[in-house]
Amino acid sequence: MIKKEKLSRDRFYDKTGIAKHREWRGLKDTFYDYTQWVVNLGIMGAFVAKSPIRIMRGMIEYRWFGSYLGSLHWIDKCMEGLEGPALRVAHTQMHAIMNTATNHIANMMKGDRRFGDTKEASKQVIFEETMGPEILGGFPKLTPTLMEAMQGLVGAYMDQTLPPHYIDAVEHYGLPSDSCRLSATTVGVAILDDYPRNGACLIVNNMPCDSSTMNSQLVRRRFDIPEFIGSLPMRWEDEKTDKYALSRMKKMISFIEESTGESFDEKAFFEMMEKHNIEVEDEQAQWEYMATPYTPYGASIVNLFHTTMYAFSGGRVPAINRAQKKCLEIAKKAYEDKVNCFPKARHRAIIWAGPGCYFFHFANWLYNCWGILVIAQMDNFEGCTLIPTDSLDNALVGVAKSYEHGIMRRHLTGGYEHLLEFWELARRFNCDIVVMNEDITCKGALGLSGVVNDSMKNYPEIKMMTIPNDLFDHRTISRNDMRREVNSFMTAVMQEEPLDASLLDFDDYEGW
Amino acid sequence: MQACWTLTITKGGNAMKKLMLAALAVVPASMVIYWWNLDNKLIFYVVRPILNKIYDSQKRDVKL
Repeated sequence: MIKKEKLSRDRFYDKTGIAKHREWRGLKDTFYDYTQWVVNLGIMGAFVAKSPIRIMRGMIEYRWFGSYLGSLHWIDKCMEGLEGPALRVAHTQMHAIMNTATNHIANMMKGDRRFGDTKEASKQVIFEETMGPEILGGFPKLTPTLMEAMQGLVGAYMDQTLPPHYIDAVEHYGLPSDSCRLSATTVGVAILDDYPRNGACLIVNNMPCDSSTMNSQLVRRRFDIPEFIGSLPMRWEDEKTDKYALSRMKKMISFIEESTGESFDEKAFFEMMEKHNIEVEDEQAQWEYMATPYTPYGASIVNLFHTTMYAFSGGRVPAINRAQKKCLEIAKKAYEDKVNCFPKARHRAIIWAGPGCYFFHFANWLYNCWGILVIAQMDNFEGCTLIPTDSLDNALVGVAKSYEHGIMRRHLTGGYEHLLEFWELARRFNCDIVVMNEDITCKGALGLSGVVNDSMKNYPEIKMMTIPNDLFDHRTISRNDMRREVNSFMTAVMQEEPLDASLLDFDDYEGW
Repeated sequence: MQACWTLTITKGGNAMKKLMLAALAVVPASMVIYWWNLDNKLIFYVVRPILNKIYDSQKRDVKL
């Protein structure tokens, strides 16, 4: 009698992708994963305890909030196939992400005027998600909250069915269906009145993105608070633009002072910038390990950890730097012991351009199915700016530089030289594959696809596969459509066999 | 009086024992929940559908 082989995909229910049981990684690592699950439950318990009534009301009030119930499932997906030091680094970074995100949501709920007027509301400054909170370092009594990150981007990571609810609302009003899914979701949340009503004022970035420009006019109608548009230079490499950037930063400070009644505290600002710089330096130390064959940094979480640091911390969140230090210790030990932390890896890859956010664990799938270890993704290289602390003017220009290098702004809308940075980064991190995301609604990146393809000839040792996605909308290009594109490339171009054939083609369309 | 104290200590001891047993039972129970993914199954198949009904029934100020 032939015993039926147990395949990785057998662990999941068809269509929903819910696991029948959790992953077996050997006794030691499975027990470790269990303890980290308990820690995650503790973080969630602490979150609810911050303001139990407002948080429970928020859960019932906001559809996007309900999607965060999928976070434990999402964490499991991001840990698929990881073991040893790689598992420990991923969990350590994930705890910092969880701590930061739950604190953020708790602050939003505590300051939500929808649940009754509160002093907290006027002590919060709302930032668009492409801007970090560095400038608020000079206002120790104020708290930053992000305008749309939790409703859009992070919500899409948790639950692929969430953004279509908002996107449909936008298209119902006749707005174009080929606009960026991120800004469409942002407007959809506004149309459906699903933003919390918090904040003393709103600060937004400027980007030459058609969709963002068009849709921001609609979003502002929902925010009944003073607003300030960053208007920072796009051609930041020209030092002549620094003077203008400085004047904008000073106006931003005046705007916050006028809107909140608080005064800019220079000493507190410099203290925060010192902490910001420690975070950046620790990240650069991490890059050294990432370039080696013994890296424990890889797959999905590393990228999000950086984005969390950029968008939420800027020196503000102690959990971020604690996690950085702990991970560096793990990496150092793995390097000294010459541990191959990703034993299934056959290729090293860098992922570039706008990703399919509904397939956040794409990098884990690449590793488990094809042995492609994703070392870094585009967002890893946003921000990463050391801020001078020798004078206030230089520090403010440094903060402006951090915003100018921000998420999407640097690579997708920052000119073709920046979009093409991935080739040199692939060499730096010893990658032999570039996975080029083709976000079908990002005009900035799509307009340069010819330039990207043409540049391939200069890097013959690196293969590039182009994988289409629809950023937030899994109905247009599903996760399985993305998997099929990879499969075609790996079989037709690379002529390789998968490590696990059960992962090649399966239906998880109805799942989170 | 002595008998009363002994009784109280015995009762307190029993309660302590029960409390410790309950605490010890939490570990294997949580392991069962973890391994069989009962947390996610409960949320996906029971909690979220109920929440979706609540979200769908809410009246919102929908406007462009």
